[in-house]
Amino acid sequence: MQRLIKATITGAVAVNVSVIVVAQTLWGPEAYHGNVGRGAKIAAWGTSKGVASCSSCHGYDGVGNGDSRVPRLAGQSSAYLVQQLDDYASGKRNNVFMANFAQRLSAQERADVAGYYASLKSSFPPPQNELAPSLLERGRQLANLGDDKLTVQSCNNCHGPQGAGEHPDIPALKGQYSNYIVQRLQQLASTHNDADLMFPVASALAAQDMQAVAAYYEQLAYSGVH
Amino acid sequence: MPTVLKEVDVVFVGFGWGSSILAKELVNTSLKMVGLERGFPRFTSPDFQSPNIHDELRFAVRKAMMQDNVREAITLRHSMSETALPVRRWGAFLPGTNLGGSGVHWNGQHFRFQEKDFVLKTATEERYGHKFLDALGLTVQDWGVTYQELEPYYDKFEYLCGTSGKAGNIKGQIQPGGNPFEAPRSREYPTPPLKEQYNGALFRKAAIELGYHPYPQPSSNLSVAYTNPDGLKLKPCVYCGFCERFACPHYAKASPQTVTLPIVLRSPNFELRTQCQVVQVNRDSTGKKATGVTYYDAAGREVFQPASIVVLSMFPFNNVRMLLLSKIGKPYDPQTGTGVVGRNYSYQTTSNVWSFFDEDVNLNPFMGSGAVGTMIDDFSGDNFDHGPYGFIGGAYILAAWTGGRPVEQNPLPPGTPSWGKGWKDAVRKHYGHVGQILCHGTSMSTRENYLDLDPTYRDAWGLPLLRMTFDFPENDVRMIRFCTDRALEIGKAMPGSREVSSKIYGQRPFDVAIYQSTHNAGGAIMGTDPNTSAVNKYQQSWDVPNLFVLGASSFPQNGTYNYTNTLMALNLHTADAIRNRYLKNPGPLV
Repeated sequence: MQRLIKATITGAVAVNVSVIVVAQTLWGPEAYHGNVGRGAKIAAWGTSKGVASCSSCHGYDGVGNGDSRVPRLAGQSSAYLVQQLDDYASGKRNNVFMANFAQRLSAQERADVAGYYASLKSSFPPPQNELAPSLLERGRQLANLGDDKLTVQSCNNCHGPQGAGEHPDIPALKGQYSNYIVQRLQQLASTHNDADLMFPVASALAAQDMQAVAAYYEQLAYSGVH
Repeated sequence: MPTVLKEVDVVFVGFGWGSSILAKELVNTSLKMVGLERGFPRFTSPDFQSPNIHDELRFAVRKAMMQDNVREAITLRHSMSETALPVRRWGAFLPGTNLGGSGVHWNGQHFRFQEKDFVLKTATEERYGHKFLDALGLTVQDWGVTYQELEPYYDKFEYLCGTSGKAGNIKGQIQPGGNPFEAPRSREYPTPPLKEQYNGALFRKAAIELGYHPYPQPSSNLSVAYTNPDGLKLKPCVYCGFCERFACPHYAKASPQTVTLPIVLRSPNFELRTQCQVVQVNRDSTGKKATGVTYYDAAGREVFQPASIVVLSMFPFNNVRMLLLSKIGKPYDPQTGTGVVGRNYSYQTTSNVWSFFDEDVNLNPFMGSGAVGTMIDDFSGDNFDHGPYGFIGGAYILAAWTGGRPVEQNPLPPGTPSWGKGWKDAVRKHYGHVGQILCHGTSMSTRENYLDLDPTYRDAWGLPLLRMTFDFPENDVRMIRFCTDRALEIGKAMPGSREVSSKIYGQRPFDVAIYQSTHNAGGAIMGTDPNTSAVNKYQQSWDVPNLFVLGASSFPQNGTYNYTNTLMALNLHTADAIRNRYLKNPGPLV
């Protein structure tokens, strides 16, 4: 029997609500109001309304593709994945490719496909390049301790120990592709939204700091470096 | 023989909120300044980061950020007929230590006092008559400074902190959504209020139904990212629920570490020395001029630091104790009511109300923040007619969960077993389904409540501990009973409330073991008469004009609210007087 867990939606993905909203939901590796079986079908084959299969970019295994900055979805929480699809659909998160797909998925289909990818276990390829120890060390510092000179707190404060994610709302960074993390940080730095939790963090990071922290998280799942 | 160092212009004793803001205001002068802090240096990164900082046992239960009361405690007795005993485990109040002081572990509850608070004696006599006030047996005094004088400094401190809130009165115009009872402010808060908790939303409904005026609690845990007038950046609160007793990992709480220290510590004119235990303010042969301070450094060496200006800015207890140890100012004598140092110690009078809901009402207390409340001021200060009740003062009534920590933030209905299966079952049933309301009220000074040096107990350096003689005045006991009854009515009216319970802390005997408030005040109070106050309106010692004693030790009695904003406004007022007047013409400012 699945245990009903009372979870909440707040933080980075729900900054505009004026009253903190309470959701009773299933989260984690199980479905988020979604049906994993139906989600698997959408992931593999798309929908009859012309939504292309998610797997064509993200893979049926949800591992994505670091080379083309397609993020890893496997193992992210279903609540987080649904929220991203909703935000793509509404335009709150700006991405022309994903908006096109998300808008043509029904709310139920978004929940189904999110549930499917949340249910998967990731596999992690080796990093593409040999990484400079100084780059990794800077990344480790930012991830674990932050930097007082930049007034940037540690990423793990919210993203969890080793960036494992804080279900249900805060995504895992561990093992995510550095190309994608850097691109996402650049997007977040450009929102100029003072109410967004990530804007002041991302906008304080120089390009090489984004590279460092992204590289650190990418190799974390593969090498086991802590 | 102590090591004698080179003279500096200003020496600060204690380096928390109070001294760091004064140092910040003086940073553009050519003054050479030294800050002496008894504790360790610490900064948001790396010291305040999670998971370490979210350690409830270490910080909340074992109180890792507080003054080490094995080395340095206070002693307490409830009346002059008792023998005081040392408080070796903090309970009712939590004086901080280390760089940043209590400004690191505060909750960011950022209020102004009311206009009448500063002229309490005059205003009470005007409204209710001499006889009414005399019958209460209090020793309340006017402050010697008015709200109008402090308004620009309140405003300045709020904009330095980026305080999140909704104005209720801008230049006399009542603003919808704010607190209609507040004293007029010159402009809106720098940032909008935090999100309202569900607990607060239910309280708001009940309060409106009962005809009250709910508003969002002003918070210096910020709702949005903010750059202050000094160019320092604060970040939005993530509602992690670990403000009180903890340091903020997110740069979201205004604190010395985020608002004052970055400016002060980069100045070449300032030097910070930590692990320095100051034991005395030294004076010249006239006794009217401070020559510097004596301290023990981290290696235990005795050091004399000469200085032109000495600033005491420790927790109020330690300001008073340092004056007594240094024999500056006439000690207060409760028998005759004369003397000034130790006079008019006051506290804060509080209670809690809990509202128990069914299991399908999820209040999610763990999504908390230090000042995320919804509250009313209908019973604060003199906002209602006290004529029928026989007491003065009042309390704000606030619904808030600062967090939902498993050990300490876990109230259960009356009659619940305190351990074992019955307790566990009750925790399972009630966690997340309890509304919390707080009454937080005034504390009046009396002839019998005071501070002096303990005749028996000494600190690790062999010096007498501070002795507190305190119990709640009858006036305050009546006040908090009255306000708690109002809070119970609201608790019952919260939609879905099944059962209410209350706990009044403001009752005799004062229980030092249970947390109430860290707003200890008075003992080196400000005023217009050197016979009834230790410092003038600029917190300058009447007896030693190059000695300034900053902080809540200056309060002649305590107001309704959490006091940080008020003591910081006083300090900014003092800073202006030092910068613009004292430096040009050192001597008494009054």
